[in-house]
Amino acid sequence: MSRRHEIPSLLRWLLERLVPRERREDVLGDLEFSYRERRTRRGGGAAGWHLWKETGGLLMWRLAGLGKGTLGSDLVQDIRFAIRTLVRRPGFSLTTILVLGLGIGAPTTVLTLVNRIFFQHPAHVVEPDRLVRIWRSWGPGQGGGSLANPDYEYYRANASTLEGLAAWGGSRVAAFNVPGGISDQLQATFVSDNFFDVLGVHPVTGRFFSPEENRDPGVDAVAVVNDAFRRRAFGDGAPAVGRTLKINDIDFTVVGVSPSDFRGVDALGSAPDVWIPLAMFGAMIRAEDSAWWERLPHLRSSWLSLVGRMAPGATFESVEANFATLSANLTYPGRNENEGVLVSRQYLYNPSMATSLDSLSRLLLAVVALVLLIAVANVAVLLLSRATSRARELGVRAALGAGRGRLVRQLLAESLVLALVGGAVGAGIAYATAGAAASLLPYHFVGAFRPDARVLLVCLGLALLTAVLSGLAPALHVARSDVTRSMGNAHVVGGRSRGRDILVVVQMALSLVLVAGAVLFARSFWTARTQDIGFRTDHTLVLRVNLRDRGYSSEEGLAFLPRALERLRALPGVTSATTTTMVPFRGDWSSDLDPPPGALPNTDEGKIWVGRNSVAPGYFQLMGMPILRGRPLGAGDVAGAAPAIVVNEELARLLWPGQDAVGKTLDARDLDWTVVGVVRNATYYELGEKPTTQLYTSVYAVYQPSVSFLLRTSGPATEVAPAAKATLREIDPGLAFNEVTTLASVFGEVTARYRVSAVLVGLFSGLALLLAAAGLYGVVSFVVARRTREIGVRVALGAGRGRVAADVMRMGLRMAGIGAVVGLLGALALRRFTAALLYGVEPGDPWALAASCSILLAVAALASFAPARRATRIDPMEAMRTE
Amino acid sequence: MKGERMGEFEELVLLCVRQLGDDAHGAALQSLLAERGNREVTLGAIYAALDRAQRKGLAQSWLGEPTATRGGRAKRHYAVTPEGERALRESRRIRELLWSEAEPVRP
Repeated sequence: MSRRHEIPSLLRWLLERLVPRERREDVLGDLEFSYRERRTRRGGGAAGWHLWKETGGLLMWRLAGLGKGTLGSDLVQDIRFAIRTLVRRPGFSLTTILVLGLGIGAPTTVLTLVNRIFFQHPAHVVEPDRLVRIWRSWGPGQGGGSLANPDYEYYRANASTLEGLAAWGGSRVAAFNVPGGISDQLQATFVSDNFFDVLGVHPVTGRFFSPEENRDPGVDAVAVVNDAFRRRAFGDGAPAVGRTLKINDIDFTVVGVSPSDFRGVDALGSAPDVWIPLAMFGAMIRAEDSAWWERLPHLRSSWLSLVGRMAPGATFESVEANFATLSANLTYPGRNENEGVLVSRQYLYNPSMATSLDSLSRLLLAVVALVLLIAVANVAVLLLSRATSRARELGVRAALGAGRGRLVRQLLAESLVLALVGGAVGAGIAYATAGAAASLLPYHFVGAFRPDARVLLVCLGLALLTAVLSGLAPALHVARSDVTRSMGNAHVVGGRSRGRDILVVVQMALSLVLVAGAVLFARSFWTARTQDIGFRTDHTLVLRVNLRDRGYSSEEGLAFLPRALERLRALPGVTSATTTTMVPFRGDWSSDLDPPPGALPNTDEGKIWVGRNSVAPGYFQLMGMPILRGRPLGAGDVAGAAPAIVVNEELARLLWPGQDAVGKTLDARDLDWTVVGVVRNATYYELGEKPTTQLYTSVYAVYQPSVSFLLRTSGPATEVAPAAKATLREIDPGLAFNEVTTLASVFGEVTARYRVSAVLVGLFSGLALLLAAAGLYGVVSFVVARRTREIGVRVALGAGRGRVAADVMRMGLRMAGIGAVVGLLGALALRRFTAALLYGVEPGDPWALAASCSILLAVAALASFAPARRATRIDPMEAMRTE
Repeated sequence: MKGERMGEFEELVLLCVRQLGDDAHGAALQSLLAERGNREVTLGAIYAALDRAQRKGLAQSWLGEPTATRGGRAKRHYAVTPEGERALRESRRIRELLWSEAEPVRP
């Protein structure tokens, strides 16, 4: 029989202990048979998983025999005895259970997050394992963009390895009203006619879309509503199918209702309120032409996310090959040769998000693995100390005929009971804290985070592993020592033990690694939060609207903006107001310029790439962006006046190196634009970016229908939001707000990825340090208590109390010192691992490492101080009298 | 007679034991239950049911010879005792009686 069909040795070891000897042969035989069969039928992963389930089942079987007394095996007796022994020592038991609970709780909490992030199937989607996502890629291995409609139709018609290919996109907020009913705003998503079929979802009532309804742009105004939205819009028991829903002034007929928790395959975001055919997109955004529909594949018109279902018999590799061929055969004018498609099995996230969540998960899993190891070492010390102080009891039992094996099993049984209870505590901790931990994640997940059966089973596995690992040291100790001899002179045994010292050093070393990580991540987060990004983020409300969705012509838009700004400025609590097209860190609007002679191009094609923005007067002042030369854009810079632009330092440097940009002209769009001012560089897209170019025009000269109002407030920015929304709705009751937020929270989202590692690694390292300190304190106290007589004698012989205290302190600090050195080496070895997750600080940063060592030694000194003080108070006379 | 009553799962397991005859051992019972009963159960659950049945005298077991397909490990064979056979028949009789007396239910 080949080795790979055998049960892993760890599990076999565990099983051999779980099953009584007389049943070992046939039970293991059955298990191996069942395991092998599953391996051939379902593969290694499923079989491994099955094996753990079987182990759980066998455990239940053995426990079921507990109460009946019919299966009077040693294990059952051992466990019963262990429970009795542990109940008699509640202090020791509770401490151990608490340590184990924290140690197991940390990984269980993180596993709950990881499980939910990566392994939760989207609601109502059938066989998600057969789904693939198709992304636009801009070079080998780089991808994550959406695709244009013609591309989608091409792939849908030609992908032979897929059973179906669906598309969705264009999610937006729009105002709606039910004729004779409520009016509010809703979230709409545009989907292809086969979207629901490909995912395998069934309507609650009514039907989904037909291919005809997705054929001609703007003709079939039909909608599928979410069941929860149906209740909100039409009332609780009211039918929706056949009703009319006016969305952004278009009458839609409701044809079906989707399950309330169905939200497609995206893991993030809430369920859309309505689903609308792709063909209605142009009408909904009131595009003057149906450009979205007919335009050639092009970067600007890419707005669709694609999900496909693999055909029966197709493999992921065959789908990849299929799409590679299709993409190579797709030609259109101006196509970028590097562009293609990326097929991804990860259907929940786009590739960059998946990568960032993946590295974060790995970091957290590594951190909690260290926490668990520390807890195991800590409990091992506790158990070891107890085994030493129980030398007499164990000696008596040995003398009465208990074999050494039986004593070892007894100790293992005790650690098993402790670990199982500790595991339950850990599961409880995960239940209580997973939600809070999830709220720190850089992405917003909808719904609760709770450990499911899978996580709980792993938690049980961890508890069993912990039991074995922590019980091993004391068991070996007993197995090796001569228990009967220690009966008579218990007080001599075990002043210090090498094993215990090593375990304390291990805890110290692991803690240092974690503390070093925490210091680095805290510094990284601090750097990210406090660095100069070139603009203010405080007291600023952002309201994003799209005037094109309202059907405004540019004249109407230009009339709307000054009216809106005037009334917003008059609101109480608002000190100034302006508009911007680009909100920092949110996407880009850019164009290429042909460089004037002497300029420094910044693209491979020899052009100058510029970020663009159209702003209302007062923008630079409100944002706190200083004008270095010239003037800002003013009320006079309107269409028809002398075309004026403001450039940032970087653009000025590239266009006119070494010269004053003010007064220079730039030829673009057949107009000679005159630079009237130079503004300081700022961060526009992501933290830590190299200075990028930026060109500002007045929104009154270069109109953009996508507008964000910025309001500077005297009090908290969010307090002004309701009044600001009401004011804008007074001017246009049909206005929908795509987003209402503050600049501070936009910036908060950007720094969230640094915050989550700083907070979680900080918490876990604090926990680790606490455990390690408690471990050190325990060992030092234990040694002092054991050496009471010796210390008494030394004091009686004239040793100074200071000397005694120093000896004790030295013992504690020596262990911490060795631990710190080992930990430092560990931290340096892990340098490469953390580098990618840090911002603005080097993983080998000497200050951070020095600070971590200081923290560790300070905590160690604190932990040794109490036992040292106790040592100085030993009364020689008293000490000599005890035994 | 309360202690002698068969549980539903116990009955299912015993019926499988009966069907497998000479080949009735843990892993085979597990496969059969998965196949016929459409239930994925762990070996532990099967052992627990068989332990109960043995305590009530409804089944018996013995250790067989080691076989190569099981990595040289021996199988524990199970068989239904005459008393078990009686209990199974009795259970079947009661069920059939109740089914035959029941009003036909309109779907």
